[in-house]
Amino acid sequence: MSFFLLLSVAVIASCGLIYELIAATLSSYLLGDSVTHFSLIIGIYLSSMGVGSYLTRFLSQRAIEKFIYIEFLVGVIGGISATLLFALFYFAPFFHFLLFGLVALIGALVGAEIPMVMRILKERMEFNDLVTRVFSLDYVGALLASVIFPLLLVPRLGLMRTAFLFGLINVAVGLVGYHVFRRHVFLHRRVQVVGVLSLVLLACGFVYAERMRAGIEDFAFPGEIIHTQNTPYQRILVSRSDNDVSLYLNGNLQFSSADEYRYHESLVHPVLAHASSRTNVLLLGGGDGLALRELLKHSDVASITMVELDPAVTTLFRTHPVLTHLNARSLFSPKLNLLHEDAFAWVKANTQVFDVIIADFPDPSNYSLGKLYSDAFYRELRRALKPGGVGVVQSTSSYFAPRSYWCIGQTLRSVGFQTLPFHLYLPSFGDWGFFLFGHEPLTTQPDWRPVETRFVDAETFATLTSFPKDMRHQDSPRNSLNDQVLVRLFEEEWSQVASR
Amino acid sequence: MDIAIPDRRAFLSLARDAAASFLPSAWGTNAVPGGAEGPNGTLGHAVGNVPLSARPPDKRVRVAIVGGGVAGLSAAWELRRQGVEDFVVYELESRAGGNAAAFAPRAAGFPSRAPLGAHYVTMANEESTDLRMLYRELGIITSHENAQEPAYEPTYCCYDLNSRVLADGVWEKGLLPLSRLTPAERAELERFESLMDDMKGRVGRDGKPWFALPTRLSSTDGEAWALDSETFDAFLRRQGFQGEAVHWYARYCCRDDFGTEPSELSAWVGVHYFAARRGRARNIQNTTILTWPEGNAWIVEKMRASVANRVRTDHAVVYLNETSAGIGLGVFDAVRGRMEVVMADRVIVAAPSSVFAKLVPSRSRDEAPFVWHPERLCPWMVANVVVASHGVESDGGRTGARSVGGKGVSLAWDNVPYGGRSLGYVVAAHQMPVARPRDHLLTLYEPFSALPSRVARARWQNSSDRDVKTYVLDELERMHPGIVSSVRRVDTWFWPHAMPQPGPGSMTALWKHNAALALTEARKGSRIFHAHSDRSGLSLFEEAHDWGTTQARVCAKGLD
Repeated sequence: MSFFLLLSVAVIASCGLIYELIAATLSSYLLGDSVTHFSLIIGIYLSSMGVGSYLTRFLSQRAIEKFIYIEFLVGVIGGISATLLFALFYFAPFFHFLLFGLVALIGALVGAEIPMVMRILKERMEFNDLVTRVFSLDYVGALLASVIFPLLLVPRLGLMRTAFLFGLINVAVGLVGYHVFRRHVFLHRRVQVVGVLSLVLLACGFVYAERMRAGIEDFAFPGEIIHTQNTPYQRILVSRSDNDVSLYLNGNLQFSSADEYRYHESLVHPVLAHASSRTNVLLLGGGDGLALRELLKHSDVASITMVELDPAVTTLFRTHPVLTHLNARSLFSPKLNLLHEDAFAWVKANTQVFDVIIADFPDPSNYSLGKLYSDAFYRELRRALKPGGVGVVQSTSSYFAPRSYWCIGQTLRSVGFQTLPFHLYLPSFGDWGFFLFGHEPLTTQPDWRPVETRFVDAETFATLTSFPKDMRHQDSPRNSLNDQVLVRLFEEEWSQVASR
Repeated sequence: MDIAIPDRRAFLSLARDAAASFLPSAWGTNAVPGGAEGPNGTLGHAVGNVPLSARPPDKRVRVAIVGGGVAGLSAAWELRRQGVEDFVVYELESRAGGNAAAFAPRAAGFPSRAPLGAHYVTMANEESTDLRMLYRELGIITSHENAQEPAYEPTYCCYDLNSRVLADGVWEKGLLPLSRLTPAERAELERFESLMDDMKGRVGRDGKPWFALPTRLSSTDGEAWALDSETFDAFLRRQGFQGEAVHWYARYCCRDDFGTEPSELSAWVGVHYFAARRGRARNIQNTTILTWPEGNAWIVEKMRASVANRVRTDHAVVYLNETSAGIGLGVFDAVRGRMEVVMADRVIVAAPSSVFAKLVPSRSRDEAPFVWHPERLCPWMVANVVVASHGVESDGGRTGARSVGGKGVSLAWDNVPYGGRSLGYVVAAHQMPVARPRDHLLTLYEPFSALPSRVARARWQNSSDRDVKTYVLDELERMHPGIVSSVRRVDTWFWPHAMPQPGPGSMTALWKHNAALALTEARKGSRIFHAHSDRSGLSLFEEAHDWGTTQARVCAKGLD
């Protein structure tokens, strides 16, 4: 019996250290800044251990049974800790407090373990012998855990499964303890049921850890996830609910099939109507093939050069049945010349000229993307646009970020373009703005071709160029590579939206 | 029975520290490709240890330039400007550029060379006429109509965002985490800025600015030079600066430019960093630095290409032999493994002071060079890390999406960990016409200023490639937890004697020494010239260029 108890000291010491390492590691993964969180978590954990060991003085009655229950409890809470924290991070407010609370709870339970063992053993051993043996085994267990955690467990099992594994070990200690001390236990059935249930729960967790992780991520987005993928550039996620398919890049909504036609029709048909010729089109971005679908409605568009950074996006929109239905298999068009390159680098090296240029980039939310809205970039577009040619650029929300919107127009004008601003309402995004741009003043008599549309036509477009008072033109600075005003404006305006 | 609990706690936290320090290295450091290299020490140490050859010379040349770094290439550039075409540049490394060299990283498809050292220069002051001329010739200055505010080529000026700093897990714009500082610290920083602005405006009784770049153009006014008698740290404390922020900022800058701790740096040099750059531009914000994806190697390459057929790399000049017929140079061709003897009318030694002393050993006391002691030469590490872009890019503010890259403002040109061990890293693609590269090239800099140089060199030499890689990745992990899994390649370069550490008094001593030497040289019509930033004590492009240019000019004049 004493042998069992001493062995269990080494095992539970390992488990205790593992839970703490998991909490600390996970918090640095999720929250960043490892130093602060590591030391805070160690501090909370150690002080809670003190609290736990103090509390054991109230547990001296039927100590063996209580020890067994503590093992079950440590096993279950410690075992689910990583999964729970991961889920709470996405769904719960005040994540920090929940994290620290959980760490304190586990710490208190772990802190109670060793004193409980000593309470049980003190009747069986000499005090000096007891203390030295218990603590040396305690240290051995801790050392073992600290070595295998980084070398074996994290790389092989991952944090969630490591936690479940050690939870299982804790529960096993409890069950073996029950077996060894069954003569000292009063309520047999209860111990058996709780122990076995804990064991089953943790085993299921261990087996289904990966699925749970995927499930937690899925749940963070509405609807059913039909595709997720990490590419060198971004995380792609496609979700589907009843009548809607949505694309998220790095967690940002790119389109929703319920109203994407409004966006893509307005991106494509007005610019074609304003161009004097539309034989050669340059499409920057747009790997989803939706703008392409609109372009292909025009039979006089003979060739489309598409520069899309991420090959994974076009591959996905060429292969997934739901998505090829959405873009009408436009990415298979023989008119398409598809290039997977960085748009800035490509435009800089390009020597071709085009009748129509469509720039459909992600919003200028950082200094890398901001380069694609700079005067230097627009100077390259000027070189690439034929006389009489017209371009269009998606220009963020003219309602939520009006200063950013007008800054894009100002930057276009600063390189010598004439512009025509317009905007429309997208239910899933809000009010969204665009600029048409060309070398010459944009014609007041655009040549609208009769193609099938659901939203935009000559009559509608006339209303889109009128801006209500709260969105009207305001003086904005020019966005240049050396001074990316736009990125700062964008950041400022959207953070105000977020804090509303 | 609870008495033993604290022991357990103490042990647990120790074990935990051990585990924590284990973590990054266990995440696959071994699998990351790359190498650890440095300058050619064998060849470098052979200089001065080779016996003179009695052979007749294999060839003759009017001017031999020893060293193909910034000083040597600037000398070559100036010789051509003066109409001297018959010269050869000998460089013992296999690439020209010295501290401003670059190499082609072996990671697939990265479109830029990677810097091994200096990464930027600044706008030239109005009085720095040689530097301005170089900038005009290189197209860095595009219009010089307005002498006070010339126009600079925008693509060579650092793009936005210039710098960001990491504190408490959040990246913030600028070099200091202003939002996290106390009001007292911020007030002190403002006082520091205005003190340095005041220093910028100071003009000595000789009409020259107190602080000029190159330093040669600075005032000799005793009031300014009094600063050379104390350390920068002592100066700051004497000025009443107490806060951590000002001292951290000062330390960051001193390590960045001089590889020296403020407590060991001449206050004149410390103030020089903040007060000597007065250059203005008509079309760009004044404080903007000038930089290229490959760092100052861009300038080096322009200068080298213009004289490419006269630059011999892998050629070590191992002795100089002054004779009445000229100066015999023993040149070791490291590729073919043979010696040749070259006879030159004039020699410009564009090499560190220790090399100059070995090549030109004897001569009178007042001609003896000012040699920097190896203990006063700070070693540097420069690590070029290729990392998948999602490992460092953060998404910007709008969604607060949590990416590996981190929280706060997105990637900048210079990315600095507040209170960090290293100086942080520079992003090559930032200055390129690329919005979203697949991979990023980060150049991480660390001067070993806090250790005795001897100790740092010994430690580095005793480290395995794996230790070195772990050391670099540990620092990156501290800035971007989890980045290790995105790292594709780590190439480290160690400069054992990167730059002199100008302590109190050394600037005055150098100044006197240079003045005395100039006098004797003028009197005797010297045939050997020493051109190197070591002669200024500041390892800066502007100093090396100045010495190369002025010595070449004197040299060319003597040839007529």
